[in-house]
Amino acid sequence: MISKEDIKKVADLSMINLSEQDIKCMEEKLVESIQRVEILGQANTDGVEPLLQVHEPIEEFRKDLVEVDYILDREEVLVNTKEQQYGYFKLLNIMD
Amino acid sequence: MDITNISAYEMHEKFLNEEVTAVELVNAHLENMEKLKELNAFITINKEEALERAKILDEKLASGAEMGVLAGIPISLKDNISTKGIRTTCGSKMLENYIPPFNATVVELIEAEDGIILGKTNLDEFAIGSSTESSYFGATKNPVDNNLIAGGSSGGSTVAVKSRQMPLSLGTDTGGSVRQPASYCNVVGIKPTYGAISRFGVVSMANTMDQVGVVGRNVRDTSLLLKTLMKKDTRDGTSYKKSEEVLKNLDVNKNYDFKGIKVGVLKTIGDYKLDEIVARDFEKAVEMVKSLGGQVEEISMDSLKYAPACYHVLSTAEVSSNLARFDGLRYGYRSEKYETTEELFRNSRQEALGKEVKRRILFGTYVLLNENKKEYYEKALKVRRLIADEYSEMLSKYDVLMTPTTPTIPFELGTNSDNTEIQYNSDIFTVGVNLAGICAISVPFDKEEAAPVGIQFIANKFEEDKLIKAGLAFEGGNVDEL
Amino acid sequence: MSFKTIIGLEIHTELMTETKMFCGCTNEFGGDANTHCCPVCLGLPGALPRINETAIEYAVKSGLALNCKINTSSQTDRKHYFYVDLTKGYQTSQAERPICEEGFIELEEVGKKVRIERIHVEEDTGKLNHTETGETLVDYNRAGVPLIEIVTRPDMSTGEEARLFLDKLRARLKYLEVSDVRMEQGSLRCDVNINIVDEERGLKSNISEIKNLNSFRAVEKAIEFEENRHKELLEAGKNTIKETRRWDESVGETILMREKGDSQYRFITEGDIGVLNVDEKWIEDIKNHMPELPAEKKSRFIKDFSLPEYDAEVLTQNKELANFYEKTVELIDDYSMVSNWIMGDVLRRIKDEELEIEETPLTPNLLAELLNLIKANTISNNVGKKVLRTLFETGKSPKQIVEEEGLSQISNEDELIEMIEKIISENEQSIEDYRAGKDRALGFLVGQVMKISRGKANPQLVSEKMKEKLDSLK
Repeated sequence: MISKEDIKKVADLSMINLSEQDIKCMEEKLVESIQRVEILGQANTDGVEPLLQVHEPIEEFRKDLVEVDYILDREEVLVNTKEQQYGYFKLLNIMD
Repeated sequence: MDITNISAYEMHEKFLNEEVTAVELVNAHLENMEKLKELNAFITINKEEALERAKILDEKLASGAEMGVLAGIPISLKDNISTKGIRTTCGSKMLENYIPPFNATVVELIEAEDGIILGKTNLDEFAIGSSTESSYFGATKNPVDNNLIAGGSSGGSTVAVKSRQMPLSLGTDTGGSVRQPASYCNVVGIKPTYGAISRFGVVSMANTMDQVGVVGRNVRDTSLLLKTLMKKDTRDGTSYKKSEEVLKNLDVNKNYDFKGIKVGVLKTIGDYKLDEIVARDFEKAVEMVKSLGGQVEEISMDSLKYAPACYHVLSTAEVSSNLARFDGLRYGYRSEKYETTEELFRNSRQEALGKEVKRRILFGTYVLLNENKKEYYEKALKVRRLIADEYSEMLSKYDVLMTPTTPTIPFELGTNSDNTEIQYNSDIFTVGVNLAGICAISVPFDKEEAAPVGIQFIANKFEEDKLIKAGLAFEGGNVDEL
Repeated sequence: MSFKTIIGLEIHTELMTETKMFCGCTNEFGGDANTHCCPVCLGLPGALPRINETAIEYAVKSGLALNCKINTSSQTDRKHYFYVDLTKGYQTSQAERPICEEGFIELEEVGKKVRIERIHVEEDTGKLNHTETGETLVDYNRAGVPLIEIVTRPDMSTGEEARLFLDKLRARLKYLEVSDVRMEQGSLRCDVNINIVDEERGLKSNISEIKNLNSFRAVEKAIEFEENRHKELLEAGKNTIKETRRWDESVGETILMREKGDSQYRFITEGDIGVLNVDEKWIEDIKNHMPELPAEKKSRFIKDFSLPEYDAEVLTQNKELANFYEKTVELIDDYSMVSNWIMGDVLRRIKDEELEIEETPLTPNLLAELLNLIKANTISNNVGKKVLRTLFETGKSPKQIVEEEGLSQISNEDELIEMIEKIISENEQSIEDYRAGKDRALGFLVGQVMKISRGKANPQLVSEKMKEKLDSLK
């Protein structure tokens, strides 16, 4: 069953901070989720291959040609970021 | 005459016949949007650009140029479909100010056919949810009854269409997110085959199941937009050429019935905790299909009971992957509080993602842990095959399958959005379609009924023509005679 | 104690395609920051990947050249982790079913076969720059550049073997023209996995992964360093931890980067691409268009040019060098002369300057011109060496150098006899010695003539005439 430690672990892996209260609330919900999906254990899947995708394999590969039309101007590349400098994305005084 | 009261087809015709200008069409809808603001169907209204475009279309028509099949028709898009220069928020604080530098392919297709993009509709945050209550921009209300939820996650789109703020709208459907709100709002919603419409520029939720869907007030309108969008796109590797053939020769002006059509209906429909009214209406609907010549037979699908669990595992796993890119660095919300990159990621995600989204990410991460992957994720992939195979088997025997779209009618706003059991159950008839990658349509049982009930028809891959015919036939029947 | 060292390598190579792995952005090296970017490689919401056909072809080619089995059906997967240089929160790679498996490279020199576990395709990440004021600047031009990762089995046991493996691997990839394999530019990166086993006591150290290796020499040195570190710890009754270490070239040591925890990459299939089918026909087609590889070229050189095995090995180690040889022998009819010159003065020069043959002014045409001057006795062998040095420095043609510096060989008999007579008159003792049957004296006298002619006298002719003269004096 899912524990507080499990929640901390997945929160760490998915880069989400959680307060103690968040963890408590999440625990409840995730335990519920686990219970709900437990029914899958009843399905007989002996010899069944996983279904990774419902579409057929790719019809064609992309030809190795530069697509100038799709390349963005640098202004467009940087338009949505909070900090930029000399055409780079910028992070302030990162300590790691 | 209220020009918003007619079908999209008629709007287009009247525009071509110069009975109404594109500018008038846009203004009439803008007026409704203003009046019905409290429904909160829209996150962004594209007023200036739409009017500008309408003007250009009016001039184009006057010049005698050939017009596209959507000419003059205002169309709205769920706000997880990228629009160049128009913010695309996904209903999240994370993307509150994000302005895509590119258009989704569906946007290009609509514009190429002279459609007018007039607004971006509300949704559950990142399309995760089924009530349109988890949007950072507030809940959307149901125009049938303002106290009810609109359904979701494409609630903004179905509300806009129902309340005549827009004749046509695009949504996305990952587990029922077009069909369920269509059912709740008494409009038509189609989820096409996986790969039938380009997903390029459509923000992924669970990318092996996501599909753009179309919402309209009638089947004919809906098929018009659907046909325009069913095109192979070289920018989406999962888009297929055969999509273009499906509706090519379909005549939507003919009268259809169910003669010679084999319809499969679940024998055990009683097991799914249907609301009384849903059970009653569905029974009537089956009677009507029979009366229209349909060969209805009872079927059973053993794997269906696993569908919600299977969907929950796979969709959350994919959500945890697809939402990993929102880290506050290149675009989107960035926390002010950080001293390390890890803090930047953690704080930005904590501050800008909603509760339900975080929950799904955490659960999706959990099922993918080394120690859990086999038990949950891989098991679900195998069950997915069982479900897909069973649908495939049924659809080799029947032209269409018929179910209620949802087991219940919409609940009251604010009452159940946190109740995962109800949310979970409400997906039972829709999620299997996405797991199998096939197509389905939801048609209102009775458009005028106060308690909205939708009837779902399901068809095999790239058989949208069967859905349209079934939808047209069903729509043509008279429920009052039953 | 007897220790055995166990070494495996992971090699990342950037492919020389026109465009990136999953989008049509240019795959040119460098460029102004963030100018080779599109929604796909920037990971903008809604952008979808489309896999590059040529990248797949190059991966298959590499697999064939490394004796791998090519999987007609492989699979792309997402590998999840958060880092600034990664635009999507995952790297698109291949986990479960790579495109190539089970290959090997034969190290004949040490009688060993190094097995290759797998080759898979994946994408590169962006680049970080740290400013002096503590800010981090990020450039995503490199994000999405196609890579192959080659993973060996732990079949090597010395730094020298690793080096040998890398030399052969690099030569093959270069022959295939799938990568420019430059370690300094980062188009070839090598990580080392190493541990040691004390078979007597049944002990083994934990595996260390070494990163930041900028040259093959560094790989060798880092392995030696790690071997000793592991040995010392085991001998002291301790052990290494599972860790990632960084090679610091300036101090010649490896430094702990991080301890290896349990890696949770949460691999899932990349549903936007999914199954990757490479049909037999395509593989056959690629096979049929494979360039000649070093081993094949070597046996052909031995056969066609009657070269000794060693010479053929040296000449074919590097594709450019082999081409250079082949082009030169088209212009001059002397296989061994050309190979001797290339393996001698030319390679020495290149090694000293740390250049590739194509980076020098020497071309097959110029080398043939030089050798033809020697063959025609216009210059001597020794003058030829001098001309080559000047050529490397100035880029001028041999003919021009010979002319400008007046290096043409003197074959005019009158001129030579004049010099011979001068030398004889100045070296009476040597004439005595010659008469006394001391052959060395002849050599000395010829040398003196060469000296006063500043090397320009035709040595054979001098020797012949000197002998005649001396004999006539008897």
